[in-house]
Amino acid sequence: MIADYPNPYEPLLCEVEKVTDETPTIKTFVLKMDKPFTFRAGQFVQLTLPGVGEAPFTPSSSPLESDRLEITLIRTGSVTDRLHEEVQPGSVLGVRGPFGKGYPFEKYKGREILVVGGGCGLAPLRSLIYMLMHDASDYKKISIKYGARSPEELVYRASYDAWRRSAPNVDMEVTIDAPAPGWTGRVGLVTTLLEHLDLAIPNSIVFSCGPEIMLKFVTYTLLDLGFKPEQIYLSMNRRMSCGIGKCGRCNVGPYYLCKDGPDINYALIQHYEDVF
Amino acid sequence: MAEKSGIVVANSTVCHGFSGFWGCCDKILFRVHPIRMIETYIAEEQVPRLLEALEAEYETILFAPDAIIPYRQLSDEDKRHLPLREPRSSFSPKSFLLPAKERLAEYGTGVKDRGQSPAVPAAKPPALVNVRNCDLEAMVVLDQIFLEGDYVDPYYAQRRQAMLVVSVDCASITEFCFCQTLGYQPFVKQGRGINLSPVEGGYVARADTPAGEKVLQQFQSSPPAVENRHKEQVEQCHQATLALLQQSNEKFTTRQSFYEILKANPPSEKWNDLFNRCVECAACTNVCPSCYCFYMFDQKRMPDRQDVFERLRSWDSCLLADYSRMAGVGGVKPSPRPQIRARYANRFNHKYLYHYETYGRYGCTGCGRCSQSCMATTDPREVMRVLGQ
Repeated sequence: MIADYPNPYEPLLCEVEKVTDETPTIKTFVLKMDKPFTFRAGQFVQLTLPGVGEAPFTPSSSPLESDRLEITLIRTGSVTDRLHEEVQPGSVLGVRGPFGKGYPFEKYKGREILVVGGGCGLAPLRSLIYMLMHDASDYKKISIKYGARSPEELVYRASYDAWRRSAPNVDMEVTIDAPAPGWTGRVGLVTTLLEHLDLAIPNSIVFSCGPEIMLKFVTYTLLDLGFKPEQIYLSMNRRMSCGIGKCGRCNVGPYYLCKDGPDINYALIQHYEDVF
Repeated sequence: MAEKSGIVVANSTVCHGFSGFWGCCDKILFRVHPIRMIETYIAEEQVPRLLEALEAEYETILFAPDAIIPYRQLSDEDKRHLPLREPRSSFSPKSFLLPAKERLAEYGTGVKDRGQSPAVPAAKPPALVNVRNCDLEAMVVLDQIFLEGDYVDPYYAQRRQAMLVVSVDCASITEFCFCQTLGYQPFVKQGRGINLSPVEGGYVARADTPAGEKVLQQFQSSPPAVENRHKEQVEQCHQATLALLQQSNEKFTTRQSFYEILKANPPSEKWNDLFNRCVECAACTNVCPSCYCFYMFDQKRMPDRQDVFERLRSWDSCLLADYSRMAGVGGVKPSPRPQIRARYANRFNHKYLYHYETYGRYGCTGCGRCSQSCMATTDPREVMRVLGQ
């Protein structure tokens, strides 16, 4: 772990074992870690493409596994473009972390957990889903709502049935933004899946991750339904750089998302102008 | 006996390990106590000798009103007219703790010693001369960021530990100074080396750290005593400078503290008129002694090597449009604060609200260099006066 490391800015080198195409724009990189790498679901790492730069990603693999780290990322900017183009099995990448607090899911045993993901936002939530399912009987209900632009953009599509079958109190609903040939499932933004929730709202806790515009409308929809800000955790999108609360660029109000987040309770940040 | 030897021992709240030197010296018969510090009188014409004595272990750097100059580059004439009674320098000492650009790591498969403790180059550490209280207080802000929390910044920690500060109480002010508005004072209660308080014909020099003591000891074997009239003059100087500050800031008086004003005025359209004239030059954040935000970037260490890379950081500014930009295509990278008004509000809120809420002190110490350097003449005092109306 970086905490045992004398230079918090130096990346640990690791080899890419496998690259999987999840969707036309999303790939999963499996990294082989030389030393056991432990993290909490929701904590993030800084992934270095040597000589190009770093970008923050939350691992999508299970925190219960410490010798492999999976990172699922969408091609959307200068670092991710190069990662998609250049990285192959055998490539060397750098990792710093884990940083941040992670999802405080253990605090909510006995409650009903609502997981709301959008697009590539299901990636960080997958490590949370693994942890929730590991102790599924500790939670009254685990309800997953997920939306993507089109059927091709649904990540981990092969896992959905296994998740649904993993425990009797788990359900998952999936939607795509617009009708597509061959798609017989639900159509509409992910917020439409929130309209008829089979949950006791006062007993529920929400973890949501996705594009900023989606987080905004998920939050407003939940508040309209009667959720309190304290019940909503958002994986906030900001430009984390140093990862250790020093470089200053990932703040929302007085909170640095790299150390106080990236998953942060909406009640803490709701009044700041630049939340969404 | 202590009086006779010219050494006055004053109480201090600082606790530091004291070498046995003074206690062993047979001329000085007081018991050395770890929470005391020494004071001595230094005549004006002796000050160059003190600064030269520093050169044995430090690189002496003089903060003049309009320049930062290595002491050895000064002419003899300049050395006779050191600007210690002039207003504070236009430059802050920040760059000696946090250089404008520095390498943070070397990495890649071609780097042999990976995972080593980083070391800053082993040149002589600087002795910063003529630094004022605003800058010492700003160093506390920097310490909170770089030394506290789960991670210590190893580069900052090494520089911070090695440097010595020869601070000076302010005998005059600039029109931009407003430290007393924020609860600070224009003189040093706790320095980081030696502090000089101007008196008639010279200075009362006080060692605030063991390193400062060492320098004072080596400088004078039988230092002249600090007399009661000196103490009175120090106090008079403090009061006179405070009065100057109060007078100079009268037109900016607000009924509430900056914290209260910002708490009551969340960013709104009201802020537009105040900040739309900003030209986004980032001068304010560069000259600020407590602004610390930085940008990290990677590059090849050597043009022809594909296995050795370096990571650097450079100062950054929260007022620049691309400061918080996130991943996105080409020119449409999203930013949480696309308008200058929002970025300016974030800067002010950070200084007077967020840092206060997180660390219990303002992230600003009232040096006024931001307004001194601002092409749009934005002045925090005026902003607060308008918002607080």
